[in-house]
Amino acid sequence: MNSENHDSDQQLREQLQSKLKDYKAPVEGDFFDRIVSAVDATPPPIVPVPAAKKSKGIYWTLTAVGIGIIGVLIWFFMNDMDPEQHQKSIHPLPKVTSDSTYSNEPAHQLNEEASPIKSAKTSTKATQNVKPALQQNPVKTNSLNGDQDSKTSLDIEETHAMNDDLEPEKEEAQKTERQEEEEEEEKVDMIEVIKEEQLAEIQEEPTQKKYRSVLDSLRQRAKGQEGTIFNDPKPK
Amino acid sequence: MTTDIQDLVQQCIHGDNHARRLFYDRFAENIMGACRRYMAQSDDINDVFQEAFIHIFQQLHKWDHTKGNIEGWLYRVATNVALKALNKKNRDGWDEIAVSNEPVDISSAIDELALEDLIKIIQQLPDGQRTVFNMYLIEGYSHKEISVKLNISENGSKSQLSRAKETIRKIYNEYHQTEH
Repeated sequence: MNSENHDSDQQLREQLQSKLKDYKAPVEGDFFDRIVSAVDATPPPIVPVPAAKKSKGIYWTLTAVGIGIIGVLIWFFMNDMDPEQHQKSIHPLPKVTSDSTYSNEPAHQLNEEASPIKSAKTSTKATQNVKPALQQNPVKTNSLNGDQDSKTSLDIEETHAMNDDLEPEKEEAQKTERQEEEEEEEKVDMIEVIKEEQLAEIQEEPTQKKYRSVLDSLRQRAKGQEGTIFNDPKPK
Repeated sequence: MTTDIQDLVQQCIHGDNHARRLFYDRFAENIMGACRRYMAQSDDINDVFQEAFIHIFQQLHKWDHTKGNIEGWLYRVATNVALKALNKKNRDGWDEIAVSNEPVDISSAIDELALEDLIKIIQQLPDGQRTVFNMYLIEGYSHKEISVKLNISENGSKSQLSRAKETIRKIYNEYHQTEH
């Protein structure tokens, strides 16, 4: 029965396929504009990226990020390792050089000649020399630079003021350093004390055990005898 | 011929509206033929036709000329859109109808019927019967494949086909009587 059905179905299939294979029906109305506007309105389908491309992309992204991180770290350590550079970045240096205090040349000429690197290197010397000169003979300094304009004198005063500002900072830094050293020493002392205590405890333990065992044996022996010092005194 | 189609397809992929127009005019009747076999109501036919063409223009880059001609690919897209619409329409599935095991012979009727009359008779079938009839006898799917595609049992597919044949014979007889 089934084979009969199958045969007849196969025959029917061939019949229908030959008849309907190229069936075309007329289209009533024009749908083209609607179709095109719908196609353009919807975003293009996302074409799946092959796994190999994806992994390559991830690899290059991670490599770039890694290189970037390493670069930043190197830059950071380089900056951190050079204390002079570090100091320079924190405290921008004044333009006045040390020689301007004692020389007869106008300070602004010296400033022009001095390169920024040179002025940075001589900055400590400048602060040391300018201060006593101003304290000892402020009029003389002014007279020496008699031709100077008021701007230069203002620069010197500013430098002086900055030097005054720098000193308490140094002192504070030294203080903090001392405090830190003291704290570290205290910590070391504490650790040593704790160690000693622990050692003492470890050493005491066996002697205490011995002591207890002797006491226990004495107590057991005294149980048989009344009136010994190990029995509790009877209430009168 | 094939190169012409490939060029036209490439132009359509790049969004050339003139090429799209040419493509539409060339294949619209093929798509409409598939839609009319699967859908009965004119509104449904037009909806599926538009939806199919939107899909075609969006997915045209997926057509591989080495795997088959464009007509076959278009036909598959259209039938898939129609099946999706039918599945959506009959979410609860089609009832399994108890049918006799007697074979129903409609080959003489198919021979005698003109193409447009045959299409009209197919359109008069209920959704389930029409779908299985199209899939099994015209597309060449097996009952197992139909059961997977339509989410029905294999026996359900068989019973729908058997019932479809009975209905066609019945309609044909009525039609034949009125003719004479």
